[in-house]
Formats: sequence, C-alpha cells, structure tokens
Amino acid sequence: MRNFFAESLYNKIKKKRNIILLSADIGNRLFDKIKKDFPKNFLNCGIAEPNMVTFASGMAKEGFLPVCYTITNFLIYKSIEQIRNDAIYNNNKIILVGTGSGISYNHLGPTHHSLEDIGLLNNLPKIKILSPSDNNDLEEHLVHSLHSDNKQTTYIRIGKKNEPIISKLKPKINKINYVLNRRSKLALIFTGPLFECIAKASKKFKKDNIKIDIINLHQIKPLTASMLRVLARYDFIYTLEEHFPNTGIKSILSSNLSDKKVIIKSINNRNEFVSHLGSRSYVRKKFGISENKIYKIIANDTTKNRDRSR
Amino acid sequence: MLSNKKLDNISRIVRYNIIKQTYQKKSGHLGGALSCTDLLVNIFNNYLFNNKDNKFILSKGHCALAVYSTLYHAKKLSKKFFYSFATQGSLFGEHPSPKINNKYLNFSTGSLGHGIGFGSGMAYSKKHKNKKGTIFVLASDGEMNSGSVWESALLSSKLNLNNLIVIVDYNKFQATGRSDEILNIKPLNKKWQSFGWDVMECDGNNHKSITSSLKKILRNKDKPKILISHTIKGKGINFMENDNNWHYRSPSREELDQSKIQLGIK
Repeated sequence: MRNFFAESLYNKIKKKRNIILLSADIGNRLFDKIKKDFPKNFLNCGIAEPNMVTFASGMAKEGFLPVCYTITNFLIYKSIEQIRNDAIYNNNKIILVGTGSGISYNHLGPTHHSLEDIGLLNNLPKIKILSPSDNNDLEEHLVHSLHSDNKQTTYIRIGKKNEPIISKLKPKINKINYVLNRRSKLALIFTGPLFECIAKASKKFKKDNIKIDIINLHQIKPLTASMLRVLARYDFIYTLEEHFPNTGIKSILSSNLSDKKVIIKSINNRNEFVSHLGSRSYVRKKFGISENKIYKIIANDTTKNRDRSR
Repeated sequence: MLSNKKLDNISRIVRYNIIKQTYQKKSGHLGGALSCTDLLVNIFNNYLFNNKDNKFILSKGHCALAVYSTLYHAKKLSKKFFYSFATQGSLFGEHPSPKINNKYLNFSTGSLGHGIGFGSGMAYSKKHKNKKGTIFVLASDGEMNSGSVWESALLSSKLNLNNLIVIVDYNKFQATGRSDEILNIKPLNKKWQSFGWDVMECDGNNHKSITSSLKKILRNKDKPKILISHTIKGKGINFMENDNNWHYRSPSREELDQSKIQLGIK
C-alpha cells in the first residue's frame, strides 16, 4: 500500500503543485521519484513529528496542501495536540497518512503498533478518518481528500505492503461498501487490509449455508446518516479490526447505533498490547484475529440462534 | 518608522487599556502582557501596519490582550470588539479564537510551543512561492521549556528561513516562578546560536533598543533570526514589576487608579 501511495501521490503532485509531502524521516527510497522530479514538493522534517504537523499547518495557512507521512503511531500519538489545535481548531487543512497501521510491524513490537489511533482521532471534531482496505480504496480517498473543495483535515490509515485487491469496483465515499451482499440480517464489518483473513472464513460460511453480508468500512468518520440507516437494519454486526475494540469501529458503531436493535460484537476482543513477535498472522492471532476465530464465533452464534428459534 | 517618543506614548496608552480590561473583567496574565507591550507596539507600528507582506504570530497566546490593545489603539480593532474582551459569548478571550476575522490574528494559540513551528511553516511557504515579507513570532521564555520549540529551531535552520524572526519576551518568570529555577534555559543566546540562528539581544522595554536591534538583525539575510528581548514582568507599574503574583492576579480599583497615575494617563 505504501508503494502505491508513493506512486499515486507522485501523479497527484504532477497535476497539483501545491501538494507538499512532508515525512518524519521515514520511507527510505520510497519517494525517490518525487524527490527527483519535484524536489520542491518533498521535505524531510526529521524525527520531529509534532513540529512536522505544526509546520504543515503553517504551510496550509499559506495555501499549500501538506501531506504528513510517517508510521501511524508516531504520527498520531506524538502529535495529537498539534493535530487538534494547529490543524483542526485553526482550520488549516492537512492530510495525515499513517503507514504500517495496526500490527503491520509485527516484528517490531507494541511501540510500533497502532491500536488506539482511530479512537484518539475519533474524539476530535471535524476530522475525517479513512481506513482503506486495498489500493483501490486508497486511490479513491486520496482523490477525494486532495480535492480543493474538501476543507477538512483528513487522516488516512494505511497498511504496509502486499495487501490484496478486494474488488475492482470503484469504492463509494459516504456509502456502505459491500464485499458481499446477500441481504442477510448478519453482517461482518472490517476495516483496513484484513480481507485475506475474511476470505477463507467466508468460504466456510458458504459451505455451512450461513448467510452473512461482508462490509468493508473504509470510511470511519464521518458515518453518514445513510450509512447508519443501512447498518441499523441488521440484527447482528460482527466487527474485525487491527485496533482495540473499546475505541475502534466496534465502539464507534455501538455508540452510533445505540438506539437501534442491532447487537454488535467484536471478533477481536483484546484490549492489551501484543508483546510477542512473529509473522503477521501469528501476531494477528495473538491479538485475536484469525480466520478460524471469525468462523467459530459467527458459526456458534448462528447455531445458537437457529436452535432458539426452533 | 515611528519615533521612540511616539512609541513610548503608545506603549503607555496600550498598557493602561490592558490594565483597565483586567480590572473590569477580573482576568489574568497581566504581568506577561505588560512585559511584551513595548515589543508588540514596536513590531506592529514599525513592521506590520505599514507592510502587508509581513505577518505576525502570537506564540504566547495567553497575552492576547496585549495584542488586542495594540490593535485597538491603532484602530485595527473596533472598540466594540476590544471591550468585549473576556465577556460572555465573546471570541476575544485571554486566548484568541480562530473565528476572529482580523488579519493580524493569524493563529490561535494557548498551548505553548506551537507558534515558532507554525511561523516557520508560513515562512517556508513564502520562500517556496518567492513571496516577499517576514514572519514575526512573539514567544515567551517559558516556551523555551518545550521540545517542540527546539524541533522547529532545527528545521528552520536547516531550511535557512531568513524570513523568520522570533522575538522572545524574556521576562525571567513563568507561571509558578523564576524561569531559571524551573528549567534553566541559560545561556539562551548560545543555545540558539548553536542551533544555527542569528541571535541578538536587546532591552525589550526600551523602544530605542528594540528599534535599533530589529533594524540590525533584519538586515542579515542568512539565517532565521531571534531577538532575545530582556523584559520585566509587570513592566510600567512599580508594584507589579517582578512580582509573579501578577501572572494570575487582576488589579483592584485602587490599583487601577495608581496605575493610571504611574502611566501618566489623564
């Protein structure tokens, strides 16, 4: 995803020279093309994320469209006040792109994980929170965010590398995006590059005749009225995210749908750091994400409900 | 450029209006507002009101009243707005609101350590677009405690932002005591020099000293600049000077009357 981001941003800068890419000393060689062809559109601000965000806000004040890029946890946790005061409160639009989100840095441990960023930013008024699940989502969100009519500071939470493309359909902004729509009363909602975990579980659901819709929630904030209307029709929603559920999409959907009948449950229910290192799937499993777990929780509930209704 | 005598006169009136507002509204941050009054009066009258390319950032946001008073004196802020200071529903608070529509209030601060970074972003943008003008940032000595200040010091020097000038209101006090007792920032001059800045010091409560130092330092076209301005907290009123209680206190009627006499306001 980060390679695609670099490539896509290169093309955007080509057309729109007021876009400035600011990095906090990250992305070795990733932005070589931008640096070579548009040297004035790239600036390494050093390992000083708060200042990068404040500096970007000052540039926005003078008519630039700064894109701040670094690993998600550093970008958001170190700079939360700067994002709040200098960008959002002072009405200076900047784009924050956090890379290696969730547990993408599975070998680097909790200091490099970002499992609280959605919750932190969701607390702030006016900001947009986007969490693309593949490069198609990312492209659509970049186009949308960099459009000059859009005045909102935006956070785009991206993965790292080799995320599979979910579908060739153009993602829709401000709408619920289905990966699978079987008009069920059950939905599995995920955010970020997690489709590979879901794909296998989904095959098992089909085999067991469990009818479930699958939703790619790549726009977390704002949740529009039409999005909420669609979600309110469900009886059960299961969420899956590389984020703590107590402040992530589980919690956000629960509070937005609290006056509706829908029951919302998180597949990943851990609110603890994951200290063990290992492969992505190993660390995901430690965090509570695996295709088996997705299948088991949903299949169990479905069987129970079937038994009850008999 | 206004004469020092004229500037002295403006400072007296601006100071009195600040004190009167804090008396009427029972609001705080008087000491720091009085220490930076001469700096503001000088910068606005000599560099901002007559040059639309120059811009100002108030980093020590808690002293916004001193900026309002300077603007009000120059008729750049209406009486209605100035008198609305710290009243219910007003945008003119002890910290300025971004909803205020005034070209001299470019950035709403309140949390310290943000103004230099923001000003440096503006200065870099100007250079990027080959635009004229200098960004003036007024910072406090207390802000020198903040890591973000030193982050922006590094970046501004890397980018050679010769169109950025920081003016430090070095009144030697911060909220709860003497600056050098809380976190010793000395030697401030050498610190900034070693960060690659052009440094000069002046008496920040003396227009002659401020005017000549600004003239001199702005002539230099190499580096970002910082004018370390030695000031006195509570300057102008003998019972307020160097008494840190006036960081939060507001004056009584009697103290207001005494201030009026001391400032020579009729």
